[in-house]
Amino acid sequence: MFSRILIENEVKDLPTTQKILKRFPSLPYQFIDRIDDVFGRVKKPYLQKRQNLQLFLGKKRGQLVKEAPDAYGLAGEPHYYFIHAYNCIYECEYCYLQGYFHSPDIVLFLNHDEIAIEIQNTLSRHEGTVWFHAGEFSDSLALTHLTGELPFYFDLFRKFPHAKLELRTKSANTRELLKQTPCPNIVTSFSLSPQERIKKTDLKTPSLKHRLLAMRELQEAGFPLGIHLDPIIHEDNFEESYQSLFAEMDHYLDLTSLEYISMGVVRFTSNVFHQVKKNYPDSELLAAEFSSSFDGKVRYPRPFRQWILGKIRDIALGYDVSPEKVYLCME
Amino acid sequence: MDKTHLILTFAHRGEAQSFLKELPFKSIAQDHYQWDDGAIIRSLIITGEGLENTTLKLAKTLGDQSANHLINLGICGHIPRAGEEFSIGQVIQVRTAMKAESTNDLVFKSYTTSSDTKLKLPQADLISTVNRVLDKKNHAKFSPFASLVDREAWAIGLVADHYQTPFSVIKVISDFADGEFCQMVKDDALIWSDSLLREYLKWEALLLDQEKESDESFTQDFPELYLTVSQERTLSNLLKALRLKGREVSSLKEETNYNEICAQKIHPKKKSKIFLESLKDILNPLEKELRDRLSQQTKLLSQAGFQVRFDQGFEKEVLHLNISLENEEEYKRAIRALEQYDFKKFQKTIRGDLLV
Repeated sequence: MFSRILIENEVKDLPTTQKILKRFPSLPYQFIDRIDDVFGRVKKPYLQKRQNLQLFLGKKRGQLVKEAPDAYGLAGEPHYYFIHAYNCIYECEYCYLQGYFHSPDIVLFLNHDEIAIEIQNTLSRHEGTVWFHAGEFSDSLALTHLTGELPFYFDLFRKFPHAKLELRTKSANTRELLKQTPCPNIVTSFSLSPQERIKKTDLKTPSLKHRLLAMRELQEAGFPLGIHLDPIIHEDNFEESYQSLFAEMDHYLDLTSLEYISMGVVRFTSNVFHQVKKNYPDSELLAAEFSSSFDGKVRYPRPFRQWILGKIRDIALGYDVSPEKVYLCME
Repeated sequence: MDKTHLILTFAHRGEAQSFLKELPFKSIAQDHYQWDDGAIIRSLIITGEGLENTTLKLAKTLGDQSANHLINLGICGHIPRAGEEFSIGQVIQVRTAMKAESTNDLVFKSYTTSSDTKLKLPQADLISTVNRVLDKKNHAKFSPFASLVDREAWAIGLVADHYQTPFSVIKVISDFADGEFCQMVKDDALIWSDSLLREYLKWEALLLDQEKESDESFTQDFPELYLTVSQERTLSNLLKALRLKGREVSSLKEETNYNEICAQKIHPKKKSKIFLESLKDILNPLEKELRDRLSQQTKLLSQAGFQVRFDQGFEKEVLHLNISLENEEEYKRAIRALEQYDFKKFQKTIRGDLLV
């Protein structure tokens, strides 16, 4: 998976670092002063992740917890995300990380204790429920068997029941999660799409069936779950595709006990769309009916978005999902 | 540009010696050779060492005559790093060329080559330096980024980027960037130039194969149409997009009533226009549905003389109406049309009430 590991001197003796090095005994590694000295210093093409993906281990400096953009999660409650990693092992053709860091290399920040302090500081500024999302710049579960931070965050959020943690993922790597005792304020949310869509655009991600099997296991063990139907990509038969998707979801899961289902239609910044053209010139995304939108993003025109979302929302409600649990993401 | 034009650049004549000896290049100016075999023009340029020399010489050449592809060939130094340890004489294909002003000052902008895995050469990243790297002390600064160093490749990328021309870099490792190289380079120059020539010929064969594939015109399936240059470009783009959606030419001909369009007794350019519009509708069925609906809804307004426009991307529920009235009759007709117009229906459409 990785071509080499670059380790900040400051974290070289941490147990997680040692664990990762043991996990990849034959992988070359090198010590560096600061991740920032190397990562993103020189533009590295996104698709080099296929041949030359480096792993960085270090400390996150600067702002560790950031306010999430509007319409990020359930409305009416403040949303923040914290940063414990950059980049992802998967390769979704629409992924905004293509145009974000100027490097596809994976960075794992190991100073979770400092992130925890910042989460507590943020909490102290609010009275009601506050959401914290992990996985804004990475997948929350895909590498947890390496990174081992889940027990730490479970312990932290158990102490603050009014704080909610969302772990966002496309993986089926729930082994480490299942070792934890479920916590009502920690929601694991899975991004799902119809299997045909996953096959076409969500390269290297687990199949729909594998994700649903992992979700069922978690649901049976009592873990609160959410679903992101995001990004929704229009195709001629999208209604049937989403009917089938809901039928499969219903087969594996109790949809009425989900915490929420969010829906979002595919969208790109112009920079990311440019990267998609460059990286995936044969992607059918490039033949879609997009236009430049009110916020400068490339997306379907509003009537199409509303129509698509309306159709899928109707399908969800047909499965007795309560309307207040369905929200539109970034609309 | 009818013939394929390839530009080969070398820093030193020694690196190019096998090319000049084995291939029928002819000198056309100082440090500038050319071989035109009727189908392909190959220009070989000796740029001299360093980023400035390379930029100047190459920019001038490309300014005089555009090219299909640039390739830089030559020697480079190697800074072995974890997982990338090469030997002297090994030929490497460069993936990304970076630039260092000094050991502590890497330039953010890098240039990615059109490296081809079919060439079966090891691939690595390279840093072009302003000054020669002669001291192992500098290696630690460079090794997290790349394992090759030279003094030209980044400049090739810079000029290639400016002229929007793809570029490749193939290097042979001559030394370990530690100052012990001058005598070796002299001794082994011919062998290394031979290695470069061998790999260049493979590279060229692969490139020309790919160009042949991409030259197959999308438009050749429609010989009955007269297309202007702009229409040809539009057709090519539409067909490319439709192919991405899995549409076959034969079914497109049927869906657009291609034969009927061709049989119409109208201006050839108009036939092409109708055909292109039909293809657009197939590519963008939602847009067609929306356009048809809105056009139906605003028919009365248009008939009354209003020019009707909508918000770009239909993000806002706004209808822009423009009219010039010259008499009371026109005024009354416009008022009647406005009174009859169903604005709520328009709002519903914009909010996603589509029939599709």
